[in-house]
Amino acid sequence: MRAAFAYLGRGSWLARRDPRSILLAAFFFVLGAPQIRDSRHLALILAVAVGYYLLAGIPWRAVRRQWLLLVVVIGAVATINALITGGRSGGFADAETHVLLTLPPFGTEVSAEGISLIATQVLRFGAIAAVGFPVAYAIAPGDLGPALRQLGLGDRMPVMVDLTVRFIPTLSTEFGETIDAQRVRGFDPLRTGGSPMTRLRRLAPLFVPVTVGSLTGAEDTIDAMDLRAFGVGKRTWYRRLQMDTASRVVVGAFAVFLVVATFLNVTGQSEHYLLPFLVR
Amino acid sequence: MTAMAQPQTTPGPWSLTTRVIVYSAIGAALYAVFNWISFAIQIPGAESVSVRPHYGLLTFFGFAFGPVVGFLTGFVGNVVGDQLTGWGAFTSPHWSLANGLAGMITGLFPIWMASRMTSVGSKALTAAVAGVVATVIGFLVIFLGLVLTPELDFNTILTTEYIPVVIANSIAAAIVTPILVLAWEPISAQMGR
Amino acid sequence: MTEPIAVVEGLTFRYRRRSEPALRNIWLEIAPGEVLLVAGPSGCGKSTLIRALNGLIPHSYHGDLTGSVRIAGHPTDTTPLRGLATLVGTVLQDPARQLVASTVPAELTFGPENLGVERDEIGRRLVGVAAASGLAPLMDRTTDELSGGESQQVAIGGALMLEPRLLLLDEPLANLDPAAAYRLLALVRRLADAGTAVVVVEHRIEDVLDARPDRALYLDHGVTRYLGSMDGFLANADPTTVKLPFYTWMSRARAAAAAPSVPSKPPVLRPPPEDAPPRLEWRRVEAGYDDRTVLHNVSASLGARERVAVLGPNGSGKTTLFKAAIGLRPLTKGEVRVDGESTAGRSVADLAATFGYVFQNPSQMLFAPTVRDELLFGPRNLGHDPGGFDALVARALRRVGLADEPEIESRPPRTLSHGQQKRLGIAVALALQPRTLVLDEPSAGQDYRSATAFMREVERIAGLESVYFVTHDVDLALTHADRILLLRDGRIVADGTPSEVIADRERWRACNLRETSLMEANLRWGGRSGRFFGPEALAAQVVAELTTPGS
Ligand SMILES: Nc1ncnc2c1ncn2[C@@H]1O[C@H](COP(=O)(O)OP(=O)(O)OP(=O)(O)O)[C@@H](O)[C@H]1O
Ligand SMILES: Nc1ncnc2c1ncn2[C@@H]1O[C@H](COP(=O)(O)OP(=O)(O)OP(=O)(O)O)[C@@H](O)[C@H]1O
Ligand SMILES: [Mg+2]
Ligand SMILES: [Mg+2]
Repeated sequence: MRAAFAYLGRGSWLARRDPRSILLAAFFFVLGAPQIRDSRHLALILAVAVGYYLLAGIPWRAVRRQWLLLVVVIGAVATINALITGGRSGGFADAETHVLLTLPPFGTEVSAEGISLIATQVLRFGAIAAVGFPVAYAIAPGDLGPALRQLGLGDRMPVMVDLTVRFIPTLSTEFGETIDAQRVRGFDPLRTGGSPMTRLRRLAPLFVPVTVGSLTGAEDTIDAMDLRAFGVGKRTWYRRLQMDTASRVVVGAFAVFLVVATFLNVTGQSEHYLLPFLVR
Repeated sequence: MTAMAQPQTTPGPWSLTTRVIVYSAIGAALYAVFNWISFAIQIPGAESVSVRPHYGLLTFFGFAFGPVVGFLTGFVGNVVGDQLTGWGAFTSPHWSLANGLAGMITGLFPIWMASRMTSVGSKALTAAVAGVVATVIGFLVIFLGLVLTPELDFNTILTTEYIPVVIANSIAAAIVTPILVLAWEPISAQMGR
Repeated sequence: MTEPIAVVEGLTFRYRRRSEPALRNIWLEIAPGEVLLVAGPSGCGKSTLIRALNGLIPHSYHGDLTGSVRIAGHPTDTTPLRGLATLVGTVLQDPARQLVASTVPAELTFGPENLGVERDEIGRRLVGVAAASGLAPLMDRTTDELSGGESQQVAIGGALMLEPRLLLLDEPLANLDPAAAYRLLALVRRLADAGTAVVVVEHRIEDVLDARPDRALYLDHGVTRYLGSMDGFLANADPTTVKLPFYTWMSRARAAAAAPSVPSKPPVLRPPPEDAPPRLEWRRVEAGYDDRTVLHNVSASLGARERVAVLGPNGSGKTTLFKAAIGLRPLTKGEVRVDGESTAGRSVADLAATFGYVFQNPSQMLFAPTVRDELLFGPRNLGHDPGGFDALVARALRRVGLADEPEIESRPPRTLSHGQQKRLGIAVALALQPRTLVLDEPSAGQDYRSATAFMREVERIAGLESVYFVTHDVDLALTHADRILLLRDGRIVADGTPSEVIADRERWRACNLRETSLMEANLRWGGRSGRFFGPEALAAQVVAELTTPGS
């Protein structure tokens, strides 16, 4: 499986927007969403986030696995948190909890508050992920650098980020080649067993050649950049992005969301909500 | 006519030279790819306890190429890697920051300890120690999760995130960093620019 | 006379950590519009000369430098790289590593952007370069999906965007199929005709003749052995170190004919396949990557005692063909059989006992701290007897010509030169004592002497029954294979003896292959056996025939 930022959203409504608006949207959203605690608010936000996500036209098949992992990991962390605290965290920190059942052997409490908190987290992270996906799939390759530049990150950092994205598929292919080359010599990359230390050492035939190879190759990259006068003075950026009205609307909408979320947080109007059907 | 190649003014450890940019980009890309591969071949959920060789890569880049490369490898590598696996670039900014700080702190050790690292062996040992110390300190940042996920409490972060991750990452740093230092040392000496 | 674009005077350079200089006392002038070929064995200092011309020496590579290099009158040691960048364009040895942007247009504009050229002007150059170097069809591609040949083209385009007056190309042809090589050289000629001076470093000299070089520089151990006209070079160069066209061998052979004994290679005809099952058989195989099918319905069988060459355009699926055979690519349809039995359910490691596989880029697997450990990694994984390890290592190193390197066994593998790493990769495969050796591009990036010597050596290994190899080197295939497979777009389009396969010239060219002088000479003089001779043997034979009265 080759790693690369596939431009899967090509041609979709969101992909036709200025990439800066996609980046800013995700950024504002990540700042705003943690300030919302009420799961009813979050349910609404998730619905809007999914609508936004659908505008990127990302084929479901290509990202199924990512979504699955996301839900499993968030669910697991949230559940463990609920079990450890018995639901006494967040807005319920000092609450009298409604214990639904007690698990042996330690008497771990499953409470209505705990479950409510799980729901909150799953809703929130689901929404954050939905708004984040277009960053990976709806920004044209090559536009990321100019977008970061025009967001004010200077001349060098955008080139560094662009270079990172550019190397990912190359290194991923090389990694695959290395795995192949070692398998031919009787090496089994999936062998398990042994302590973590033994297992790490056993992986040396994979990570050593890939790392060292990419570092020796880096000399060529450095030469190629030096020879084309990188970093010697002020840089022109040939690609210039234009914000159209729709892009401005996207940015504006997410900015408004951030302001509203901050307001709700400061005024205490979005506190954790106890799902009523759990407590009879 | 004779012109000795002038000994160039060595740029300080904090400047963003072409070399730093390229090494950081390669470090970050490798970090993201390794992360992706363990993601692609693993059972979801087992991540925090599984072996994380890519983490040792991060401490190696910091150790071998300095604090800036260490920071960018960890920070950008984690941002891009999270984006690649679908987690979202900005979903866990504190984790990216923790990785960046760990790489940066590892990168400070060779500056502090330059006089002590007289042999390849002592260099490898320093690398292992640096990686572990940097991990323990750098990952304190993940307690920012208390703010970013208000539902979590301190104990949860400590027991389900900080301790397991610091243990897994310290092991990776202690084992993988010296292996890479030992592999890279003779080659970098040969290239001698 | 026009001013020379580059003047090198008494250049000597020693890399900082080296005891010996890489270049000694080089004197050279390059005129506008001139194509200069630089040749010489691996490690002779060709890339170092390129670095001295573009200013990386002394700006990025440090060491002892004496003498001077001036580009259009500017001394390289006092002119910053920024200034030199507008005069000299360079394409480095490995194209994949020098493309720094995600998309082709961004790659092309990278140089002028760094120099702060106006956007309008960049746009104007972009249109011009795309048209002149045939990049128009690639303009909407990302750089990671380019083939090797396309990457070279884009790298050259990136250099041309700076409108250089001197263009430096370091081994541009390695890994390109003959048709792609030809297109690239035609571009070089056009640039030179338009006034750009071009320096081409290459081992494939016969191919470079397509760019009609004006002069040649031959280096050995950093010293100029020859600098002058192309004709003089072809007449004087040692054909065992660089690959020359066949007619140059003829003149040598004539001169040598006075001497009685002719070193002719004894034919290594293997016993014909008995009734044993074929070693490797593809039956209606389909395989590829992710969503993309590369091999379409491939059926072929390779004998247990055969030498088989696989040829075809870049990206036609040659590498994939063998990866599918030893289980590195899953089959989506069909079946692979080894010695008559299906490989379904057999592991790669298990098949590795039969096939020694050498990758196109073997340095991708080198990880061990020493050459010895590297060689023993496989045998240890497969649980071979440690008692025989010393002999095994010594034998494998001797066969690839590495045994004479000082302290070779304890060196870190990655500190060997590129060519040496490639040969170590082959030794690694030989250490597994395979019955069949599979080589992907054995001669790419090697100088001619190492490549041919190695193929001859392999054919003498006792216990090695068959050799299958993938190559773009037509002469290597014709002279070292009993059978040739032509692959195109993932399909086998020809399968037969060399003379059968080349009979259909139309098909030959459609597979991006070209007629070489050695091929024509063999057809003309090689006799009825259908076998192809190496240049030395053939030339000797022809001369002997011509000088024997009555024949
Ligand atoms: N960066 C470097 N540091 C130290 N020594 C080097 C460096 N690059 C090359 N050398 C040494 O300088 C000599 C000339 O090397 P160079 O790369 O110029 O050879 P080349 O003719 O280009 O060989 P090839 O055909 O294999 O590319 C060799 O002995 C090589 O080991
Ligand atoms: N790891 C990979 N992932 C995806 N596609 C690949 C991969 N490797 C090769 N391909 C694609 O498969 C096709 C066949 O590739 P293959 O390497 O078999 O060609 P080849 O005939 O060996 O070419 P060359 O002469 O350039 O080595 C090409 O189009 C290539 O782009
Ligand atoms: Mg070279
Ligand atoms: Mg190939």
